[in-house]
Amino acid sequence: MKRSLHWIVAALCGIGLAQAGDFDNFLKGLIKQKLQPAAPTQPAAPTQPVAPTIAQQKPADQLLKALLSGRTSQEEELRIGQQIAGNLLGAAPLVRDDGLQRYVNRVGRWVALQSERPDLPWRFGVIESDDLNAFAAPGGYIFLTRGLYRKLNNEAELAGVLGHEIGHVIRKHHLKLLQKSQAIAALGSFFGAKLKNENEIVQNLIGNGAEIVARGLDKDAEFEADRIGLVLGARAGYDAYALPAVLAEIGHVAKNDKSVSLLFKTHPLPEDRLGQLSEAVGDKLDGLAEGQSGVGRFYRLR
Amino acid sequence: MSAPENPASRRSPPEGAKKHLGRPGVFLERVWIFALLLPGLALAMGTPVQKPVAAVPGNPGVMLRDDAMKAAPSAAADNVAKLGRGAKVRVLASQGGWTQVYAAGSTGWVRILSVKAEIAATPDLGALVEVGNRPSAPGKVVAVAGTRGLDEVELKAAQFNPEELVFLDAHAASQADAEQFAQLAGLIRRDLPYLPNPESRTTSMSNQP
Repeated sequence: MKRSLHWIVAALCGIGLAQAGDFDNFLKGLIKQKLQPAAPTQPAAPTQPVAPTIAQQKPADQLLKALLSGRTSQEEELRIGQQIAGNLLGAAPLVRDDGLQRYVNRVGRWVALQSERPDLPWRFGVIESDDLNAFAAPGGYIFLTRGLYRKLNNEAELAGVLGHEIGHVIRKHHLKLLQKSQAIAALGSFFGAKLKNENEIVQNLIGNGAEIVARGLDKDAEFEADRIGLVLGARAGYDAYALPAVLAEIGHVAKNDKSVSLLFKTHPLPEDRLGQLSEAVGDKLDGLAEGQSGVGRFYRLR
Repeated sequence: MSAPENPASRRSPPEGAKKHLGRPGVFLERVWIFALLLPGLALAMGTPVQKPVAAVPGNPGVMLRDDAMKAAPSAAADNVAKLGRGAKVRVLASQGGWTQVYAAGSTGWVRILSVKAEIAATPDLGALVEVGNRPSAPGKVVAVAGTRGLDEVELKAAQFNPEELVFLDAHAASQADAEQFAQLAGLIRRDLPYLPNPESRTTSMSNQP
């Protein structure tokens, strides 16, 4: 980790000097370096510790200004998402079941097509973990654990869970969190709590990627994703009450159970989420025809 | 595939409770028996205590919001009673977007999202015997060994894995692929606007005089 950060620092200096203030290009270059750490064009030797020099501190100030005004294009969003997804999959690889992965992608893509961002290159995957959890990364990367998949009873419930994560992507919840943490880091620098060197700035920029999913979003973002997940599932033709059913089921898991420790740390409790959904729905679904549960089509884990 | 499926299969109460559906007479009789079992009441009335079969019908539930109890599973049906948020109910059955409940001496229907079924408490001295009759799920495998979690420490220590991204990409579904899948499944697209944030609505309403 430290080593690759040193590489980034070196890359950052070059890019920062050449294109100061151009956040977009900076980010592209940065992530390219991170994605291809073995590229022979690296200017710095990774074994040598990099001490911050005057030459390195100067572009850092320029970088902070760029971050504060930072707007992210879809291409950068995808790069950031790829970085986070690749790290997350480093912690928990995909379940080696082609039928399962293809099935989840078809259901997920169909649900995502009901959103205002149907053209993102959506990717869905079931990852090897017995925890109950699901994750989203910018650009359309969505994962759920094998443990959560096993809890599901039908395709409508899968659609609801994926719909919740799709909600995070289309409302750019993680992207906003990243920008906010950049702004805080930048402000901290302006007000004297100075960052020691570029390493810390870079860490604030993308962290280790997967870290952002461990940090969690604020609860309003989670409530919003629940409302979106319910609506997208219903638009896709599924039982609108499937996502609430999953929440109710998760609510029956003991609060101190290890399988929900990260989920409950990063999300409001299921009963609060159900309460919020209940208030949001009210009588708004009264006229909605009954949707499918797709129980017969649901892919059962081997 | 496209035949309407009954979501009640998942959320429905155990068999014993389902029998009451549409048979309020039997149901009320059970409630009556339960009332007689209350020791104080039984003594006061001097009625002989009967052995409990099903102490209380259905499963415990709690109201998530204020809602009207309807005579039938329809918004157009007559109001039977008003149930406040937090009110304890017994969940009897479900049909479409509606849940049949018993509360405060009445049986009727509330919107499915207005009530939350609570997990039945540990069966206590023969009360709630019906809860134990739930059919077991043979398909569910319980992991006993080698449980793999995913915590913050593991996430923070994770190393970028490009091979996994290749595997991920290889299983992606195109838009056409997903549309064909949905068509074969008989999934029908429906219009439904996004739901507004209920808290912001409350705020704006409270601002009105």
